[in-house]
Amino acid sequence: MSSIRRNLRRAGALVAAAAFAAGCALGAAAVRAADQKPIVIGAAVSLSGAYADGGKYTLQGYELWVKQQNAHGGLLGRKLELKTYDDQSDASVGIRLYEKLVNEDHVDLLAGPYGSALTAPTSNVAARYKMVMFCPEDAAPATFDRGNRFIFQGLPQAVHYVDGVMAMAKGHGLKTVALVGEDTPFPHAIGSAVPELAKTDGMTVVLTEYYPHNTSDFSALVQKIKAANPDVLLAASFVPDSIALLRQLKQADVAPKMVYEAIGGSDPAFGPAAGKDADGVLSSTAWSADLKTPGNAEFVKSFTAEYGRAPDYHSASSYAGLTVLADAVKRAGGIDQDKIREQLASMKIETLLGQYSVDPTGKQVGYQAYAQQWQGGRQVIVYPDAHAQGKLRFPFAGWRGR
Amino acid sequence: MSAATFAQITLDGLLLGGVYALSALGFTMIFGVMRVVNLAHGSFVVLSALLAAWTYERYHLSPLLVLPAAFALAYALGAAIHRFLLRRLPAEVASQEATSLTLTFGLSYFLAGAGLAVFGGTFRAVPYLTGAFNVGPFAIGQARLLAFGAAALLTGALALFLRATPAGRAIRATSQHAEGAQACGIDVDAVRTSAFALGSGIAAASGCLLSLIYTLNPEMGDVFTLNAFAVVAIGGLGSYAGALAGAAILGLAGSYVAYFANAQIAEAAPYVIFILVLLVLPAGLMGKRAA
Amino acid sequence: MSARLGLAVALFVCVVALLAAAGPFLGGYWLAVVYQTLLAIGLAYGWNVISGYAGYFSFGQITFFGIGAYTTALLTSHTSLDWRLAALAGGALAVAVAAPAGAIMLRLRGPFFSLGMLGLAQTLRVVAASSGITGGGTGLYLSATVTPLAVYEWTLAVAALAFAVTAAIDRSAFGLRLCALREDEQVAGTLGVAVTAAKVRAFLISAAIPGLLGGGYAMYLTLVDPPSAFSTRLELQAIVMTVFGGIGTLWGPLVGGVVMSQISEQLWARFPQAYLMIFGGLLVAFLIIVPRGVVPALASRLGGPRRTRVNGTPAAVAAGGEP
Repeated sequence: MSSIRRNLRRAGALVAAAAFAAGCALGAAAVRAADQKPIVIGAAVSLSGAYADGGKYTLQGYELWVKQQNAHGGLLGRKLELKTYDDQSDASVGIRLYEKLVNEDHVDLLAGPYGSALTAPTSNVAARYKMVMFCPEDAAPATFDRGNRFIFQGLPQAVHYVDGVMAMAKGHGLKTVALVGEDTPFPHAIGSAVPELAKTDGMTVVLTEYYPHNTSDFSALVQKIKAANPDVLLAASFVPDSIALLRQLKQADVAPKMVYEAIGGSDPAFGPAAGKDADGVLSSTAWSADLKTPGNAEFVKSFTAEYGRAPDYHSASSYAGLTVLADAVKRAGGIDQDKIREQLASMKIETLLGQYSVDPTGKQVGYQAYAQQWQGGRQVIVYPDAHAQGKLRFPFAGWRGR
Repeated sequence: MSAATFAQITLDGLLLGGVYALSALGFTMIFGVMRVVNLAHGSFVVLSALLAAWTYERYHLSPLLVLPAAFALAYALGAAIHRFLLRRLPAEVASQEATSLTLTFGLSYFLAGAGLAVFGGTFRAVPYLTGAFNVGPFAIGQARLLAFGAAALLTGALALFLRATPAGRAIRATSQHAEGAQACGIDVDAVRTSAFALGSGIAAASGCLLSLIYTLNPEMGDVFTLNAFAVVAIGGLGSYAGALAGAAILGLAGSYVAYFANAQIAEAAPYVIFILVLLVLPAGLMGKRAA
Repeated sequence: MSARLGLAVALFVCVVALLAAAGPFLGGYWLAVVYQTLLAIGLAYGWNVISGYAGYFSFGQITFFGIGAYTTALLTSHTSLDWRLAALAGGALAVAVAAPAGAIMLRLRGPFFSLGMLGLAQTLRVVAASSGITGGGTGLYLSATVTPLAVYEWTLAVAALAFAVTAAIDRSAFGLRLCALREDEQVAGTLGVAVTAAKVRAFLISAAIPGLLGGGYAMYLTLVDPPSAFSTRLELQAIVMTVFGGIGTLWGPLVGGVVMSQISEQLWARFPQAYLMIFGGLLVAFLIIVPRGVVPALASRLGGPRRTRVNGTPAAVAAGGEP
């Protein structure tokens, strides 16, 4: 062999060796980098538009969880990152943003948006890419009845919200129920359980009426309630309508023996806004600051310190949602969507809201809704007995003399 | 259904009418004088109401005390908007209406955004005067009675202003015949600016009073703008008495439909009524000029 | 057909074909972006006919979008009809509703028409929210059987149709009649323009387009509820885009649609909190700087009015002869 060829051969071998070594080093670096690469959780929540308040609470829960988890070493030894966008309370924007999170931002995990109206359309994106989406803000069953195996519900089902108040009403021998609510999905889901429950509990529904979103004048409705004279008033109403309805009940001097304002009544801002009129109002909540669930007291403290106000159940729910999701990832041993899905479908875990457990469609069957009552400016859990922190004040005190 | 209930519903309807009238006042003025549909009207109402709510939360000041300040602020802002924005738009009629409509629409977004930035998205209400006067079997909400009274008072004051003061007469002259007014030496541009400013100020004053009745957040401006438009359309262009009548009709219709049918249909009632009225009487109930 | 026109049509067909072919390669996110931009452009073109050319500024064209969406949702839920046929039915129903609605509403002038149309949209929203058949306030849940790609192709077709129809109007005697009645309806009438027929025809076109687009949207969202079907956001977007681009022009909605979509997207991603303020502020600024829209402003900069050729004598045009 000529010396040139020999030298070339040697040079070639050297180059190959160098390339191999470089390749190994790069590969090792890549593997290390993948280990160092943060786990990104993506979500589109409403920071503007009709659902902005709920969206903000949801985001705060997500953010606090990520911050605290990172302080405790992250997940599987990797740091956590949260990538969020504002869906403007619009379903088509939400869909586009989840597509972005999956295809452009390449997030590892998906967390759901605020509310059922947005969760249903965006859940299709999760199914399309076979990625798990944990939905901590959708209490409506319909989203989960479409055969989507990748979504899991992180709130007690809306149809169980009235269980507590109906049980208490039955216990006090009450006979007539009036059901009113905002004409949007969540209140409808809450109200849908009433006819059946009333029948089994031996009560009659004397009035059912849904009013449009943004209604502020309830004078005619209040007159109807007055005419129907129910023992129990069930209102599936949000904060502004709860306050307006309550005030107009007061003005017309209509005071049923039990007054329940499902959603609005559970908001910590309801009490101060309604003042003394709030006393005695019942509501349902998926969570309360007084619940003796693991880590709850610390959660309340750190949340209040971080955001300067008490958390509400949306924040607790999104926080708990990530707890569940992270645990599923740990059990699956890594970011494998199918394995995570299997875990979420079968696992049980204690969170801020109680014990997480889902049925085969992904609907929540472990969490329950607690009934609360405003007593002296504080929200007190009055049902079920196992978690109650006070007795129900019955009947609802009349308006004169407040 | 008893007579007492019917009377109560009627009473509620009239009071609701008062609320409508109040929320329409500033709008009537601007529309009447300049034929400008001020889509930012609702924003003025809402922002002023939020200011009142915020002040009440912080300092426990009654919204009635905040009213003069809100009026002054809105007057200044309205004047600036007209002087520096609306006056810059092209003057030909065909596109003028469309562009001023769109401009005030853009403004309403801007103001809603500003409101969100300043007050946040939370709903606020003022828990003041929440009770009712009980006259026999009837309940009259205190805040609504106040709104009713204020609407009547403000409308009367406005009418007086327009009739009896030189400034008011200049405004009327400009709205009736701009060139003629100019020939008489009236500075038509300045008059229009002050009319817009006055309309904005009145909207803010209404807002302070409405904070006692509604629970609001910065994005709810459109509701008031639409109410105001319905009132004016029904009552008639250029007629303040007509606006009161329009408001009364809307309030009564709202109350009756909500009771005898349901709340959802009642939501559509103002629109249906206004379309029907305009088809039959294109100038509205008491309009002086053809729409 | 002149050579220039032939070239323009060929170019148009090429662009549409390109967009259609690109569909499968866009990837989920860009597909969503282009779909939503095409939807916005289509709605803008639909709005432009009655509001821009005819001068009847409507705040309620979304009425027909909602009709299209609900019809499609109902037909696909209860029958085995292919969704595209259901969407066509939706468009047809929208036109069927627009005929009597237009006859009534078009008697109103100026802001009364504008807000009257808004009222119509609100009324229909209330009807949808209170009827059991439409699912009431909850809406209709659909199964996710239609791919976003299919919806994209449908929307592309409708948007292209909308553009083509506008182009035809822009060059035709019908378009001139609309402009005439926009400038001064009374005078146009005395000159022999069949004003009512013209404006109703424009109104029907402006109903058909959103009606067809609504069907696609229903299958895209898989949940049709009153706020999404009668979305004020979509309505306002169409208006803003057209006004920005140039109301009553052929290219206005396209330019406005593309530019504003991008601006919106960027703004929202960067300043979610200040979005409303910036958006509103920009709109106001545009109106002050280019009150007639970008396209006319650019056109006058680039020199001279564009000339359009119209067949037939003025008398024939005024008598309502076909273009």
